[in-house]
Amino acid sequence: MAAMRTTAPDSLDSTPEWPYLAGAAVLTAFDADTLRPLGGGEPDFSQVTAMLVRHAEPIKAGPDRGRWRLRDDVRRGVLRTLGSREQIQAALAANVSERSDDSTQRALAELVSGKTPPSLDGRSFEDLLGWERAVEWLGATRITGLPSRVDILERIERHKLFTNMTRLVVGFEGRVDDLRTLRSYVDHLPSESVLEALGRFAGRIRDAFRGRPPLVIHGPGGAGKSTLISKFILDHAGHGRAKPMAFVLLDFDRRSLDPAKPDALLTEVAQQVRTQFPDLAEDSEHLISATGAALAAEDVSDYSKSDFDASATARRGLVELLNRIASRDNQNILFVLDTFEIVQRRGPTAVYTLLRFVAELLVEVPRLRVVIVGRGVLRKQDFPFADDVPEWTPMPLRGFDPVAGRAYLRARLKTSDVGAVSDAQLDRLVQQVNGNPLGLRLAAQVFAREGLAGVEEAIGRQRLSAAVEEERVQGLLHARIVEHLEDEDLKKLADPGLIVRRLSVGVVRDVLAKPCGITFEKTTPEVLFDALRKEVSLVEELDEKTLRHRPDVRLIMLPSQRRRLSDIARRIDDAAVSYWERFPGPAERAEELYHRMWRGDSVADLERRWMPAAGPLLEDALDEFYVVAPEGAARTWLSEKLRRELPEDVRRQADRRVWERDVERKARTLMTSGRFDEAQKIIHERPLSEWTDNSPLWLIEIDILLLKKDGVAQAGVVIRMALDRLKNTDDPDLALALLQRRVSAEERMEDRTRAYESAVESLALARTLRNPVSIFACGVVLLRLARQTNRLGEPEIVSLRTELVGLSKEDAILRALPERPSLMREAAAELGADAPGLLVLALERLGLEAGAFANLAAGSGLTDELVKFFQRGTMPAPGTRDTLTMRADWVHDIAKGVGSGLVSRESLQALARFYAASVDRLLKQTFG
Amino acid sequence: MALDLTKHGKRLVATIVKEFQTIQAFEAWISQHILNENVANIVGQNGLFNDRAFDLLSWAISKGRDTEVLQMLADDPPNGSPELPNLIYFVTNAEVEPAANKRTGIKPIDPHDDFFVTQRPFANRRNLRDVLKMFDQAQPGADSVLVIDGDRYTGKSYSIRFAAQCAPKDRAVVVDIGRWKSRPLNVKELATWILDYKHQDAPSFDETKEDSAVGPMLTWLTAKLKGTKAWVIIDHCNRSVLTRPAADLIVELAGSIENGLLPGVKLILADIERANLPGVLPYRSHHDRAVLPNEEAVQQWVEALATHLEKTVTKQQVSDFVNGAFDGIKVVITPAGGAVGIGNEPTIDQAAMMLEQRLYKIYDNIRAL
Repeated sequence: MAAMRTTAPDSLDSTPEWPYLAGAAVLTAFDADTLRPLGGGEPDFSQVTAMLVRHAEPIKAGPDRGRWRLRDDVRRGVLRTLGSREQIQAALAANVSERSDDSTQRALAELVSGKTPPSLDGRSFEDLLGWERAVEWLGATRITGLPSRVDILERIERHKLFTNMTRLVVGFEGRVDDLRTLRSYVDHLPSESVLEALGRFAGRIRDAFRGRPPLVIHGPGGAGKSTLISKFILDHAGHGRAKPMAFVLLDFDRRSLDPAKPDALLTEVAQQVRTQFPDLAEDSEHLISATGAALAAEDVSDYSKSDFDASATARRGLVELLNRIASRDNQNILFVLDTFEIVQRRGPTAVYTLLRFVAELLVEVPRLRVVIVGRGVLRKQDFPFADDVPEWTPMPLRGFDPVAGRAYLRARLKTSDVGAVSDAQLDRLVQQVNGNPLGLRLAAQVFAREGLAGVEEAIGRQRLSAAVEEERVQGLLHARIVEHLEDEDLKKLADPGLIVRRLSVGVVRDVLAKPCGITFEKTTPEVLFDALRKEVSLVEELDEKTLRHRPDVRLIMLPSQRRRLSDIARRIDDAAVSYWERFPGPAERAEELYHRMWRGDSVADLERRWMPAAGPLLEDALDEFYVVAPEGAARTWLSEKLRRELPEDVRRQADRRVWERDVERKARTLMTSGRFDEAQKIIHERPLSEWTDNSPLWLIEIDILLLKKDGVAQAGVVIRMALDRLKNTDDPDLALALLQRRVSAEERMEDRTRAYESAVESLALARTLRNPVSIFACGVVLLRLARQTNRLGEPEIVSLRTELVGLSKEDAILRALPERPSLMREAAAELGADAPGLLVLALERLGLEAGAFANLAAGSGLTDELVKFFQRGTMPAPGTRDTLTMRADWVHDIAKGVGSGLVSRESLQALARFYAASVDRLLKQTFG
Repeated sequence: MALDLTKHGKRLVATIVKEFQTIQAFEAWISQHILNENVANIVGQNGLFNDRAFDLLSWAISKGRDTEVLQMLADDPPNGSPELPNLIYFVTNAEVEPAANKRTGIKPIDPHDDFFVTQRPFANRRNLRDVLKMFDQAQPGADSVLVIDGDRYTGKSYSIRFAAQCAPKDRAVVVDIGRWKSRPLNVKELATWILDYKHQDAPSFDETKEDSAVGPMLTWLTAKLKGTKAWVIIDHCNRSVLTRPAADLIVELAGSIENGLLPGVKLILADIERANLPGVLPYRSHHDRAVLPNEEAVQQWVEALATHLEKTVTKQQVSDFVNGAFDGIKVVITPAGGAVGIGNEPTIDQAAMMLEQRLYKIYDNIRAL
């Protein structure tokens, strides 16, 4: 049992422990042994411990471990009782020596020392964090003149926006030309020279015809692309700028940003706008809400009824917001898509979808400037499925210029024990490797050990005059580093040992020792592992016990190493599989699969060992396979597992099944963004006659036709053809899906009788499959058709309704509905009066459309108790969707009312009728 | 726990001597509480009182029974004085809490039905209590996630403490982000904290690419959590000290649990936007909305407490208690659901504090019946 007090406290300041409470309340942390009471005097430790038990908690980690702090609510109560600056100052004075040196403690002291609010300008991130907390604590007192907490929070969020950029640009030098190009394109600050002004003028004229296409910065990893754009943003929008540039930076390194769903990016855009323009917080919130509605309307399995209006509304909101900023502040807005290689990994359709999104934005927001930053080169030929590939302007980020290269080398050499290095030596190094960042890193390592002569010996003096490929230079430097490793065993470990990606003491001992010829007579696996850890140009630390071969270096040396060492490589692969398969975790499984793929294990074996959590850890491996590995089923298998599209040449030669799966993935990506023509073009890459009998492409073709204004007859033909072809094989799931489409097609042709018959047929088939979600979905459609054809009273329909109400409470249905909003809406409409849980779910997920409240309240059967619920919130703005997700209170109360029987059946019926009207209207829109 | 005698021995010995007053009382206490052990084997029979007190503590440490002995001293101190239990709370870094004073006649109670949380009255949250009762048996997936939200100062952290009190002691970790010092809490620090600092081998990451560290950190975290059946309790998820990737990690961890990747692991989150959680969590996770107790909740608390204390209270007394508790507190619910004071009425946090003080009083009054 938890502790119980034995006596009740009076007001806080009349308790014996009060002087200690007052002392503790002004300290972020305190030592119980040395805490001094307010008012001075010798401490009574028994009162201190009594205070600890009732009001404090120990700090169990971090620098203050072993100290104590007051609970926040008690602290606020004590500060409220202290009340004034003078009292708090007195409590602070009693414990001068107890004060920690942290920003909250400093802020508290500063806030109570003067009566005018201190300026927040120029405060560091940590200072602001301290201020926020101190202001929150003092909010309970009678002290006036405190800075606004909202203002502090806004500044904190703004700091967060810049934190990464500030870290990235440390030591940035050079890149003058690249910065000028960016400045000219974005055109926010005035030109720095006449030449630049002329260039900008010419650019504006050119862009007037081309529509200011996005600038695509591309270059190898480590070239400083993100650093360049960060430098640019900080120069234009960083702290202290008189007129900070508005910008949005979407970094696809962030897992939550899904490039396949441009709508999902809008939330992040809105949040960044809100941070930069707190006065537009309401508009940003509105956009977030609209985006939520758009995402909620996305149906994973039913394109024909998806509410694309929601997506359009959200995008319109974004356009309005950006235009408003641009015109209000008379400025251009920078929109950056960083780490674009993540999108490119997904495949051309994901890239195309984003490019179209951006292109449409550029048309709607004339002052938008889009910069795309990534490793890969964008090529028009990657989008053969599209006729309207947007334009872009490539900006290859070449090697460092001499100034930047020098700065980079000096930073790297700082950690090495080399003496003074002249600018001339550094310039020569930069020239030798063409300023390539990876080349510089490797050259720096050789230089640190052997001086300039070592570098020239490694790559040859002719380098200056001969056009030797950069990658070959890097390979030579890498070989030189390995050759000059001082320890012979370490040398063996690096070559051929670095065929493995991940190293640990166990890998050195059990995987590499034998094939590499290491005997451990003079050393141990632990010593070798530690020695390798220090070779930072070859490996990087994943954690204390694990190293990883640097992926950029790996791509250079692996092809030749694999060719040269085919037999040894095979033995390492075998040993690695045996080693890693003993462990259960995803990281270990990824390594096992990696080596299995290298040694050519069958797809069946790979499938047997597949673990989804290992997938992300194999992304780099797939990049590697596309560069160095031979063609093979394993590569295709991994592409599918990682949901990556196949390269054009691989797909074209793939067998029917592989081709169909890849094309299906591509088409669905395009359809999610409403690119139906492109999706159709992709699936028609091979004629229908070549499709398999149970191809997933039949459904895509039919869905696209059903969405086209004059496509319904054609859809009927394809449905018949597909059903006919299906007779050759056994695929009842596809048969059911086709029957469901047939219902839609017949409804669209306003042949409700046949539609009803088809719905009966599809329900019968669903029952044979015993899949509750299919039964539920088919049943709901049948109920709708029964309602529309006045058959609700027929005994079989009454019985079906009872069955579906029962089903609606099953876990499988409740899990499926959030992903299928169309079905959720229909279910709420047809069953809501008897299954209130469905109404609550629909209200929470889909909300009410604009104007619905007025209709409901105006004598449509909604009873007082529900009107009361709705009146507690503000009315939705005209023309927008009220998602209700922002109004959890309502749903919470409705759910409570429904569960306890407080909400009447009449109200439920009224709400269900609302959804029924909504379903009918949407169907009419779709079909009409 | 190993008691640090060099640090705390002198003070503990002095307080034991002061509180027991006589060697006889001290040794009688030992013989009553430490069974199957001769008192003479525990404390030297020729030493002074100070030496004997020290002997008891040394003996307990040597036998690995220091927590047990200190808990007994805290539960049943000489003369019911709070001084020794309070000191024990301090020297054990709050690991040994002074439990109910047995002389008051309070019976033990299931933590889910407790009237107090961390010594403070806890009146309402029926839904939370019910969820927590079954939470350890929850199915993998959304059923294993509980979200606590509510307006400021309505008691979300209080609910978190209650959850921590109900959680299995050896499998629970409380991550209160509000307790983080005023510097950014990054993704690695958060992951290490979630594992209660038991593992120090979290993946390294480049600070300029913290976003890309979320994936590896989640992989590491889930690998460590797998099979532990841990209760991860995270409070103040919306605090500004969290870096964006650290905030993303919380959401991703919730997603891993929702996906069933961590069977047996439970997650309790407070102060987070439920609608922004992944998968079906916005609809299917457990949900508790913290609100200040209303008259009905306080009435139930009074009646249950009186029953538990085996006191008889009349309807009139109950009514008086409840009316007294809310006297002068008038809060209104704003459209957004927040509660504020009107005019000179107390603000929500003042109201919360006033209610708490009054519930203490009620408790005392019932005990005095």
